[in-house]
Amino acid sequence: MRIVSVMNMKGGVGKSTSVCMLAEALASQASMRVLVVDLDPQSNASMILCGLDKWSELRESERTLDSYFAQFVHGSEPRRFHEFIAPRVSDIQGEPVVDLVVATPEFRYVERDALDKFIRQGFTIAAVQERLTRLMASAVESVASNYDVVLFDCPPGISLFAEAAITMSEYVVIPTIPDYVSRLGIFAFRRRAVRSMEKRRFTEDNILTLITKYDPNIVLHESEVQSLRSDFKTFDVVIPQNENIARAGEWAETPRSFDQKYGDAAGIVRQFAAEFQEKVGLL
Amino acid sequence: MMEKTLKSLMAIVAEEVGNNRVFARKLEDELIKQANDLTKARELEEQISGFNPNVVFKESGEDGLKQALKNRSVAALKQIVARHNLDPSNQLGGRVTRGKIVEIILIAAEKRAKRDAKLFDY
Ligand SMILES: Nc1ncnc2c1ncn2[C@@H]1O[C@H](COP(=O)(O)OP(=O)(O)OP(=O)(O)O)[C@@H](O)[C@H]1O
Ligand SMILES: [Mg+2]
Repeated sequence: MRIVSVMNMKGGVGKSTSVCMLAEALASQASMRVLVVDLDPQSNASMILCGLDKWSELRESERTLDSYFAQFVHGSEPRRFHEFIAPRVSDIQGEPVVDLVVATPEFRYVERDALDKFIRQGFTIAAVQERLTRLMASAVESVASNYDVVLFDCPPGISLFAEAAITMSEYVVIPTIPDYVSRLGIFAFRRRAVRSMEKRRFTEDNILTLITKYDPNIVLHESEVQSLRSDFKTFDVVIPQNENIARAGEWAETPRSFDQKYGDAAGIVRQFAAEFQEKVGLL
Repeated sequence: MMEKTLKSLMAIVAEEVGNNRVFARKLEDELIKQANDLTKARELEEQISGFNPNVVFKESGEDGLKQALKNRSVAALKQIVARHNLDPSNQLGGRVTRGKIVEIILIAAEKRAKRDAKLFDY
């Protein structure tokens, strides 16, 4: 089983989109069992993968990541992690194993409350961080045998939970738009990821840059792609700015085939998943 | 439909070429000119695509970049500047000499490398 975080300091670079298409391609095209854990209060990956109705239902029945952590912060009746997992949520035909732990906007309060409570009890921020990391690690461990890969969709910026995700991950994927401003985002964030990797005796090779939203009509994109390739370990596949990828974000009531869903981008998404499998050692 | 239209047009052109020497010559000249333009455009593109001065500077330094710029035409160098945004304040202006353009590229690539080195330390 592999644990992989998809993150970038910068917002809007295609983190959630990458997580969702990767999860669906791995599960439906390569028969892998995938668990997606949404760590972002924006809940984008959750809504993309399971649709608005299912998400609301999970939220009402408190089967969300914030409810899971709230047990430890507020000390409510403990339920086990697997009860928080929504199975086979994708709208792709054949019920591929894309399982999901949804986030909700309340997720940001859990982090705040955890800090508040534990710091009052005399813990340092580092200790709170360590505690959350341990909680998350044991949660994932408790279901590890059911999955081939666990994908964390991280929020932009750095949060305690995103930090925990890096600490648990064997690989980090950094989606980036090939332009100057996005370049700043990568540099800012990479250092942190490198440090965490090195602590655990991994190398920078475990940090993979994914070029997203590539637009062949923007000349500078090509220039920046060349620079990124020379500076970082990048995926060969480049995710283009593409109408069908944007449309795939809207969950469909009636299941559809992978090719129907991703249209002219299906080939690229498949290629991305195949290269991912190869790069993270999942073949 | 398109195919049919083209076929009948070509038949008319072919007949005219057979009957009209002046027309035939004109057509020939135009075809040669088009082919030349295409070759030139391809040659230019070959000098530009896949070449990124920022990358070359980082990998093989100032001398390496100088060397790599040597065999490229002024037209190609101009396009390289434009593609990689190496002259954002248009210091080159209208009068472009080879020396000036090479200088601009070297300065820009060095600045970029220095700035990136700082970014690695962000
Ligand atoms: N390859 C693409 N082609 C077209 N649209 C895309 C592509 N990738 C992402 N988008 C669109 O860009 C927007 C941002 O994408 P996404 O939400 O995946 O980014 P993010 O990095 O997760 O953002 P955030 O930092 O807010 O979490 C979305 O509206 C998404 O539909
Ligand atoms: Mg997101």
